[in-house]
Amino acid sequence: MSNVDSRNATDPRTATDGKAPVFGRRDVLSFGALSGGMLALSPFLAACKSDAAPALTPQRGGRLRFAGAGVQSETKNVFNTNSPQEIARNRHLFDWVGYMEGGEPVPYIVESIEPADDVSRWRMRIHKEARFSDGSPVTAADVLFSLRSASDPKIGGGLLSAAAASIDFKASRTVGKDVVELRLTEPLADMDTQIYAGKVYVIKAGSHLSKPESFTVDNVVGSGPYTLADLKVGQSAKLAMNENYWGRGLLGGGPYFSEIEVFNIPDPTARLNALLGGQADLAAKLDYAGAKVNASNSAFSFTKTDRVYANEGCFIMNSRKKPFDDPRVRLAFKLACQREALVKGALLGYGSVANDLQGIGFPDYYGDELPQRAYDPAQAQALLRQAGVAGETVEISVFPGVGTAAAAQIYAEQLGKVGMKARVREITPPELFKNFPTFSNIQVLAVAVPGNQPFATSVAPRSLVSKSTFNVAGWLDRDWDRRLLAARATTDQAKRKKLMFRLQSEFWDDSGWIVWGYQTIVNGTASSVHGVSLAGVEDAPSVRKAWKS
Amino acid sequence: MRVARFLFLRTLGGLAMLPPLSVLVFAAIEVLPGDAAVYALAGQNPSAELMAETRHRLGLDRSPPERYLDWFSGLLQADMGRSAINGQSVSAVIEGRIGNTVILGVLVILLMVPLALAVGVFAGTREGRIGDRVFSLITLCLVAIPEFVLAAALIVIFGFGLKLLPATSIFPVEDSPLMHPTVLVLPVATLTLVAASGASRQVRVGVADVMRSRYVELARLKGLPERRVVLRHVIPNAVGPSLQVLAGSVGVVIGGSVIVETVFSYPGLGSALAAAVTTRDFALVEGIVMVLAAALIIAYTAADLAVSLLTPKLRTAL
Repeated sequence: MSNVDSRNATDPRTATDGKAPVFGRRDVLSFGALSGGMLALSPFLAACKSDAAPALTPQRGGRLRFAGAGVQSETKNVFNTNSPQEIARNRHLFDWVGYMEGGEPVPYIVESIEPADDVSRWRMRIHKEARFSDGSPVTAADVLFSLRSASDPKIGGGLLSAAAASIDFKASRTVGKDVVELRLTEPLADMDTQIYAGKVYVIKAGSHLSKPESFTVDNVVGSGPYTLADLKVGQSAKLAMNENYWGRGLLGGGPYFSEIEVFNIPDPTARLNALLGGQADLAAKLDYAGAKVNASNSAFSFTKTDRVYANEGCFIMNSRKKPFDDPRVRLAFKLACQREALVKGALLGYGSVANDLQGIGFPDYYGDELPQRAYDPAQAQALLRQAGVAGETVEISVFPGVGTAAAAQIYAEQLGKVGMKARVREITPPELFKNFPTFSNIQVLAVAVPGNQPFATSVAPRSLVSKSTFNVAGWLDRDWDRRLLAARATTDQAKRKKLMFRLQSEFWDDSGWIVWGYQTIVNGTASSVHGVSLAGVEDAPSVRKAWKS
Repeated sequence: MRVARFLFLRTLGGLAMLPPLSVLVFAAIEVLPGDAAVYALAGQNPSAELMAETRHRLGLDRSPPERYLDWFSGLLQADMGRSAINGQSVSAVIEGRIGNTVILGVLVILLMVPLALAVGVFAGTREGRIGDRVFSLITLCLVAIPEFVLAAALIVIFGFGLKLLPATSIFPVEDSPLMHPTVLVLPVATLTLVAASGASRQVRVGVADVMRSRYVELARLKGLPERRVVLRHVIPNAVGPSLQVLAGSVGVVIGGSVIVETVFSYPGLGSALAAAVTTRDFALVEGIVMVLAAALIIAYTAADLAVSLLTPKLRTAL
């Protein structure tokens, strides 16, 4: 488990920026007048960072105030959430079947997920100790019910929806009280990864959960370390410690807080203000400028996630639209992209360069075995001239997200250097889906894809295969789809690697995806809070093991 | 009786404004691209069929007039509908937040009215002198500064610098903001300063006009002390017309609350309205706008009545 308390940090996947802030022109512009004022007046800047921390023993009790990255349209749904704040709320009320951390599976409610020899059936063994907050045991029937509900698009959807099509829920069954047998519609050797990456909460099955709208956090029973004490949708949720939590052993003795209050604060500046002003002990998903300015303040820790946990900054070229129907133009746009400049300028250095593929750190990612995409403006220019599009204007549509607008502006300047003109405009989610599913209103989409996910089980079903919802690039290769399924069914690891590598090479060569950078997520904690963990969802950190000194 | 009749007619007039207003709001939402189905399915991997089904469930596949009439007929039966995004009853959303906005608004008005009058009268009675110029400069600056900039400055000074007040207005879920009065100070101060600045400048103009009037000149020539001239002749004649200006400041407070509630994370109607517009949550936007419009109509009606009662010529006409 990673610990975001930098003074005690031992996890290489997180690090605290302890350097004094250095400001460039773009830093200042990004921060703007508002934060500039804060910079000028804040006495915190005088503070220095402490070097060492004494060994501390976790203390039980107290109240944690969590400034979550929320939206006003907060939902109460267990399985389908609109924001990290809802995830932060739910992940403490419920336990996942299991999850991925740093690319590795972490079983939780299940002890194991094992396939039959032909990988068309998978058996999940339930943890014998697992108990709901009402004291009843978690059974295989509850887990199967939870998986089915989470996969139902009318109830859940989300990350497991990609798996839903592969699970035959009618044929799936429980074997005794402790085993779920999932039957698949087609053999898949990576269903365990799919289940873990799907992060499905386990709830108690019940007849009162017959309608989609009944799957709300105040109407279901969970097995998490906290229970819901109060909820004002769009404002805050109060969680109380589950005194009889079954998984204290898994949490090293936690949970520790008597109470957690998760505040719904959509504005990142307001979240930072809440932390700096002492109204919150933990603030999630802060903006880079605010974190950078306050990095040297010893009263707080600002932690950066590693690329395995990062969002992916992308420019997606729609190959259904001219001039991107020409592979030479797609390649030229990739070669014209100076990724280091984007990381430095748009992310203020909070990130790293990517190589046009998603899913780093997870199984089946081979981007590191492909050459890093070069910045080659001369070749880009030559390709554009060959394609006869030099001097043409393209439109970059910017989807709201951290750093995307700045990235699009910088990329437009880079395109100018290879003889293309680029117009940048910001769009809303409805505008993006206006011409769904062809996205014919989009030429190039600048977007920060949230939450790194495994390539084969999540990324491809969500946005790369022909039928996927988010296929903005128009990567419509049915043979590639078929070979992907065949690769996913392959149990021989060497053979599977060969097949996956080939699929990813083809995609890397020819698709409209420019994955230019990994965008770090920055969370801030007060110095009195220890043991905060990313554990699965980086912008909704876990405080299951956390405590206050 | 005449006052009652006046009130009745003004209220009727105000209510008659609501249907056309609702049409305008509906039309404004309609011209925005996209629809709420995308937001309702956010975080999922929806198929085209699910998208179509969601649009059907939300009634988005029907014509705009049909949807408008459906919503408006529900409103007449006190049913404001449900949020397209999270399915919550619009009435419940409003009910959960209106109290917070009322607390904010009432505190601002209670502070803003005497402050605007005091500053306006002070500057107006000293037209062209140093006191007038200083106050005019200060109020001009405050009027020119956007609410979010002023709010940020107050946060930096009082929240981070002096550490006297909370930088955000968050408080325990079961409490009222009145149980944590410090969380109200900065939002109230921000709105009060902005609203009072504009209003005080209007009051100042009114007072300065009256100060130049012949009857004030006559009062001075009769040897009345300046203090008495101001208290007996200037203020009563200048304040009446200013009440309409002050009522107009309620609009500034309502508009400003959208920004201030967002900056301070104050859980009121303003922040909910901002979010509902972003997500094209038509029912919620309409519901909140109707409530805010009703508040504005009440404020103007009260101001009309007060002006009529305070102005002798109008009072006799009632």
